[in-house]
Amino acid sequence: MEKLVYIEYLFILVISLGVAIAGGIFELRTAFIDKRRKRLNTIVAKLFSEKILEVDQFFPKKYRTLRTLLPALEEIDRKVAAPYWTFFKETVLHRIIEKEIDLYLTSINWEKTVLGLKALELAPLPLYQEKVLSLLADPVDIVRFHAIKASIAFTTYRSTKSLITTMETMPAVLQFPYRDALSKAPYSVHQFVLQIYRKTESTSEKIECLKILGIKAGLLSEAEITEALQSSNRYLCWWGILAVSNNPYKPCIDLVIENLSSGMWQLKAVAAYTIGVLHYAAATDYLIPLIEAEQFWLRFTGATALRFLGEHGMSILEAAKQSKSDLAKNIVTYMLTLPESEFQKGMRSFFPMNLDTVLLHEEVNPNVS
Amino acid sequence: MNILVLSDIDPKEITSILEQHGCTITTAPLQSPPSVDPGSKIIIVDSHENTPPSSINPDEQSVLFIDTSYVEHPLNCYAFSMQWIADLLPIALFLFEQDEKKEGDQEIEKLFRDYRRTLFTKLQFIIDYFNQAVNAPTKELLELLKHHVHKTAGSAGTYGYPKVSQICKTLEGELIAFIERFDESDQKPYPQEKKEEYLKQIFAACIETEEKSPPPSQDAPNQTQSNQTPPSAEPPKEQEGIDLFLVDDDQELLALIGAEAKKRGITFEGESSFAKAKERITNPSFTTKLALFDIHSPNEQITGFELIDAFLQSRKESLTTTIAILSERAELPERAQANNLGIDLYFEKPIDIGFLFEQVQNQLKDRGEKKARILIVDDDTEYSSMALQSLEKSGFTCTSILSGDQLLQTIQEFKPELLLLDINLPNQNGIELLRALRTDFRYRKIQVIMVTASNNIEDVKKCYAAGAREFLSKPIDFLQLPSQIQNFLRKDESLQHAYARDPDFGLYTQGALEGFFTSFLFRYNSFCILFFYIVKPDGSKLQYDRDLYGKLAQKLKHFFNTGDVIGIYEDTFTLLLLDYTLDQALVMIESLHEFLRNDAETILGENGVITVAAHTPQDGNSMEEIFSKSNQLYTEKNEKPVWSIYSTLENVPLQRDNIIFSVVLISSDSQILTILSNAFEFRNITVQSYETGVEGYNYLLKHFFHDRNSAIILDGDFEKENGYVLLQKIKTVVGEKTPLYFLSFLSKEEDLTEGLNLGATRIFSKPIQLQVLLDTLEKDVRRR
Repeated sequence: MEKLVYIEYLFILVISLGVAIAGGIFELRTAFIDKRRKRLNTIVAKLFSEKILEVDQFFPKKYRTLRTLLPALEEIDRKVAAPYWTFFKETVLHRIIEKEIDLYLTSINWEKTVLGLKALELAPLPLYQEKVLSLLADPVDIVRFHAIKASIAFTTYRSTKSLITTMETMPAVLQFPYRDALSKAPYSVHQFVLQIYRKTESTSEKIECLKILGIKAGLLSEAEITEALQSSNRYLCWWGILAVSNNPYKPCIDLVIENLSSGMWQLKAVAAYTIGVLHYAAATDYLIPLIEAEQFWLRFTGATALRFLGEHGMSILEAAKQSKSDLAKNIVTYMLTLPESEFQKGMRSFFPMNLDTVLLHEEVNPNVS
Repeated sequence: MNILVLSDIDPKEITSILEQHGCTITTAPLQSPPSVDPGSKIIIVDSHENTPPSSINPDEQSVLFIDTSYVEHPLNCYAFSMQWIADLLPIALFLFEQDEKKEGDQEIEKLFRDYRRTLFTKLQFIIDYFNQAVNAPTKELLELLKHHVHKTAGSAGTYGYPKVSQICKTLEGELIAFIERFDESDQKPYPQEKKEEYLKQIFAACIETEEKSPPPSQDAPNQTQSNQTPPSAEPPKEQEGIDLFLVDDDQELLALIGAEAKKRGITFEGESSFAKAKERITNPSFTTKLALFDIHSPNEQITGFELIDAFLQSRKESLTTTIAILSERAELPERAQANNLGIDLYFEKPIDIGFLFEQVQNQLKDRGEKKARILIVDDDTEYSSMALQSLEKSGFTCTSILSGDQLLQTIQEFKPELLLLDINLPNQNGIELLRALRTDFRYRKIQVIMVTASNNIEDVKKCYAAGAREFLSKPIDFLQLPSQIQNFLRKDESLQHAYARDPDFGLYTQGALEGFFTSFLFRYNSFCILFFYIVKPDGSKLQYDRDLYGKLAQKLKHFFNTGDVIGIYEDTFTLLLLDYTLDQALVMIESLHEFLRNDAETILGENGVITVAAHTPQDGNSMEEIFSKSNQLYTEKNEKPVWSIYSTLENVPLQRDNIIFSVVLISSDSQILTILSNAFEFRNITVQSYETGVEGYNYLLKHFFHDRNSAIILDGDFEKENGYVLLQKIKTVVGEKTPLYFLSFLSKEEDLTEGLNLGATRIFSKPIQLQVLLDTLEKDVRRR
């Protein structure tokens, strides 16, 4: 028994020693890497500040790899923003690790591919545009994600067009990163999207463009939105109505009001939403029937829009408390008891910004109230 | 010459060259150097880690640093690649000897050493490219060689090697001709003989210059300077503190800014630990012209604002430093806090170093130029001569007089901007003199600092009430006096109304009121200016009496809002009723009449009467008219009680949800104008839209002070106008609290930061999100 206890203690001692040694080694390694990183950062900073362009002479061989150099460039990129810096980092990438980028992009190791893409995000060398675009539909998520970022960094018509075309071919659940990156892209990329929207004859591509353009103001002209609103395609029409909420041209609003009496409840809901966020009081009366609708989203957007429309809308809501319909009573009570602070957050955070989500929601919960 | 060679390999290549030059050589392994004799030269060969052993100090000893593959000098020492040993070691040895020979002023010696080292490094590039050009030339390579020769020619001239510069220029000319003739397919190499000839010439010129230059001595540093170096290479001046001090936990940024500062000739010091920085800046002997503080540091217990606060506390009376902050966030509360602390500049990370140094140099330049004309009035000749000396040394133009009799005459002749006025003058009181001075409209811009030996608090209060801007009590520290005055002049412009107040009653002085009239008042939608005198029962005007006026002010304080301004202007009670409409003001005056009439006896004593009369001009709604009328009022000496009311109330904006505001839109994009106009129209908000910047600016200039409850949206992308310039101009017209939104298609950080620095409340990069803009605007207006 005693011997067993002794062995147990010995075992614990050995384990502890092992952990301590491993920890020590890890600490030393971290310190070494940290020191090396700092040193490299100092070299980059120094070359940049002294405006030395013959960078390839100053980097030791051991630092001339993408894996070591990229973090240093990224770190300084977070701190420095100057036209010369853009030029400098492009020079570093071009002179030292250009060959490596080429190899990395075509590597079967996705980790290396991501490194190559990250380098191009930092300084997009036009030579590699096609390679990056070919990675847009890569099966590995993280590669695809960085390929999207790098494509945006190129800011060319070609890269924008590829992004939209690839997004269109992807399943709906995977489209978000593309759309998100495009909607956060600089102004010039939006201009390319607009060009694609005007040129394309494919309706699905038009819809994808409209999804990006419609949530911004001042890009689409009155005629373009009118065209979308009058389209027979219900998706295009839906996104067109949403575009009016950000681009309130008066003739377009009249078309939106027409949609309030449309046969499709989805179009009615988005039209009510648009009227609400625009505070378009002239359309108040058209909203009254909506609070008695069978569909939840229609009732909800109708009631919210009425509350947005000020005193007249509120009086209509008050009157609806006496309605015979229980559905109307419920939604009106909810809307009137909603605190102002909650309401001010806006129904934009509540309202699904995608027709697919509305349809999906309705399919999953057909009798939601 | 004793030379110590540290190397892990057999350094035969080096030792053979050294032996040719008659050196005594000692070899030792790199990692275990013997204890170094201070007289030895040290050569380090083949360093794997690029760093010489720590026991060697290159500032005290000459170190030659050689590596196999690349050139880098981690320490300030001679360094080059192994492949250039044959070419460069002889000249390096020669320069070593020069380093050792020069014994004199340490600073100058160091300066010379630095020049040599830099030039030496540049020569290595030339040799390297020369070698390649001789062996396998390409056009790109020759271009690089030409580039380096050009750069070396410039630097050699700067560092005092004119002959080297001349040879480099000749070589550059020849290279240009060679490149023009150069055929890529033929690839004819650069002639070896010519290379050797030029290198020999350059080395000979180097040696010649070095031999000619007299050893620097402490007696004649300037002479050496004039012979050897052009103006840019002046020896360091007498220690006057540093130009730029940066506190930031990011060491790389410190190094980056340090290098840029060095290049621009700005003395720079950095500190990465906030605790150490606090210790350092609170030390009174620490001086810097510009201090830049990082605000957030995750590893520090104190924030940058606390650091600035400590700095300001320690320099309460003698702040000559421009304070700037560096932050990663551009949030409004942070900017507001910075404004409250009186911070002059705001920079945001990622930082544009070019912009930073532009601002720094502007600040330093401004500081240098603002030298005022100062008149000292004091009967104490000893004091005035010392003050004169001290101020003139700092670049001020000064003169002094002994009594107040000659004051007006001297002011007319000398035209001072600042008056240092003693209170106890022979046969005169300085305060009376100041009061007399203030009654004259011509002299109201002269700033006055009162000086006295007494510490009587009553005197201090009287000085402030009479219109003095600052008070100094003797004994005065003459070393600090120039910086105190410099600081006072700097702060006076922006903060005069903040400190020119009666300490007891909070009455603003004449200078402060002037500040309000000229810079502050026009930002209000509607306001009333009221002047009135207190008339004695016998009908004569009551002379200034601080206690009595103070009592009255305290009464009035209960009556008016805290935001209203009560001050004394030429013995006249002046009220600025901010935010009062004409009707409100009339009601207010009636009730004030009642209020004062009831209390007249308690304020003025028995039989005291205060009479009021109101004068309400029907016109006078433009800013020019208001100023001309108020100026008239200042100059006319009305002996009757006068109440003057000026109102600028014109349009009542529409009301929605208790928010009253209107929007001024300026954009050249018709789509943006239509969209925003419609969106605001649906929300019952009045909109004025303009398609050109000039039209919009002119509208604001003429009408903006009518519409305090306005917001401005400026689209900066004009075809013919500069959006930033327009933003800057508009900011001068509108008030601090007015939301001024700037739209730009640029989305880069530096553009956005520039917009915020120029005064925009928020920046929206295009394409904008309409609903976000509308919601934010509404929130900003509500908050205001």
